[in-house]
Amino acid sequence: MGEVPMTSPIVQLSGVGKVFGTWPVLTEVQFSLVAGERILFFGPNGAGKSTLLRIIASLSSPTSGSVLFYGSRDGVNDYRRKMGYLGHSTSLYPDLTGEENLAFFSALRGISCERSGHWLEQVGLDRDACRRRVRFYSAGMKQRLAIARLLLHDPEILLLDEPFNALDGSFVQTFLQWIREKTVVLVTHQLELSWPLASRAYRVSHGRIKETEAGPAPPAPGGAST
Amino acid sequence: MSLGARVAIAIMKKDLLLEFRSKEGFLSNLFFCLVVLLLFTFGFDPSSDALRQGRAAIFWIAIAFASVLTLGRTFQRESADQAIEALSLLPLDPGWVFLGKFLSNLLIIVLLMLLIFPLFVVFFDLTVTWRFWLFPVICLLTALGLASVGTLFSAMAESSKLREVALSIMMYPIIIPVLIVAVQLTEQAIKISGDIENWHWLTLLLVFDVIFLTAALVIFDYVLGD
Repeated sequence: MGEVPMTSPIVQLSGVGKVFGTWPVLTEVQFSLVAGERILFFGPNGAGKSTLLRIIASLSSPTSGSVLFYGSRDGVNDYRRKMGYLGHSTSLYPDLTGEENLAFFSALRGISCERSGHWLEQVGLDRDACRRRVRFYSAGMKQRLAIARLLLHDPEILLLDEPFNALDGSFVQTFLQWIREKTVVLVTHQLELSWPLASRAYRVSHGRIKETEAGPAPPAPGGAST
Repeated sequence: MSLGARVAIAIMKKDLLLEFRSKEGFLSNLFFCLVVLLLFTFGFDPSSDALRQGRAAIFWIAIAFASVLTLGRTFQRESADQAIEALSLLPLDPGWVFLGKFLSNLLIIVLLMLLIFPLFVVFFDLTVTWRFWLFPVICLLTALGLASVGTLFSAMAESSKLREVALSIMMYPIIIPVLIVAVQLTEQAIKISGDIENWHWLTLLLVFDVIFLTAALVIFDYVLGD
């Protein structure tokens, strides 16, 4: 695992809990994210990893506890300006072409269209593919386009939920190179790919998180949980 | 131009593009209105008092139902691949997102009205008089009410399991006063002789619009979260 920089937290979760109906998904989560850190969340399905990431992303509010962005609740817009989120879905429009999708997201962020062209090239979508509707893309192409959307506004902080899904090995390595210098929170089952990148790792189980020992190799996926 | 205004315009353009690109979009609404007008035209004796008395209501029945079909799609296209998450994470007041959606709905509904009105004139054998200038004003003010309430409730209904039904159930009771006023004013606009009476209906329509739009902008902040 890499080095951990010590500065004031970008996001701070204190005693965070989340309940869906009567089902407690997260319980008493304490967590903070500092600039330059690359955090890994792993654990079994249904453990609460994605819900936790959505709360860190400011997409979801906790049922209990508090979330502070740059030390206050009002820092959320500043945080959102610097943050990129890639969830389970690609957040693309199936009936727009790849080009139109990125042009739209560029407009939302006040970015020039040249930049979207640059990222389309970087993720390896050729001119022909860019002019096709996303509905007709393969899962891998969609994921590449979603990554272009994610990196379009050059975010300092990346929140990623299973970002390697449907990607081929060589593109995964390229993507890992791109995010190496950023602050990253990553939810994944593919520990062998992401473990060398991480400065801290947490096992999520039954809605609780527990920091795991740093080591050269990732723990077994089916290892003991909290 | 501020980022918020740019965002609203980008959302409006994107929604209009998707609406006119999709086969189940605008064209099906147009045909729906056409069928309603035709059925009433052939269902009644053209010279009967019943048809003469009910013609304004028939026009607005067609528009009200077709508008719900349009409004129902407003947030469906955002949830197809969770593009709503990208919109929710924009570093600005959610009111700008609402405004973009509202403007696209407003333009679609106004266009629908303007295309259907000439058919209404022909099918119901209306005599064109100087009072017809009132009609674009009625259309615009009624469309403002329909679009503001409909855009808000469309966002609320999207999270419901019964989203198509939920939109109608929530929207119609609120929008009924606007439709009643629109029917009264349309009757004034299409009558052959006499002065225009009840100008206060126009003011009432404007008051409804201001109330609905303001309330929708305020409430939308709470709808866009989880």
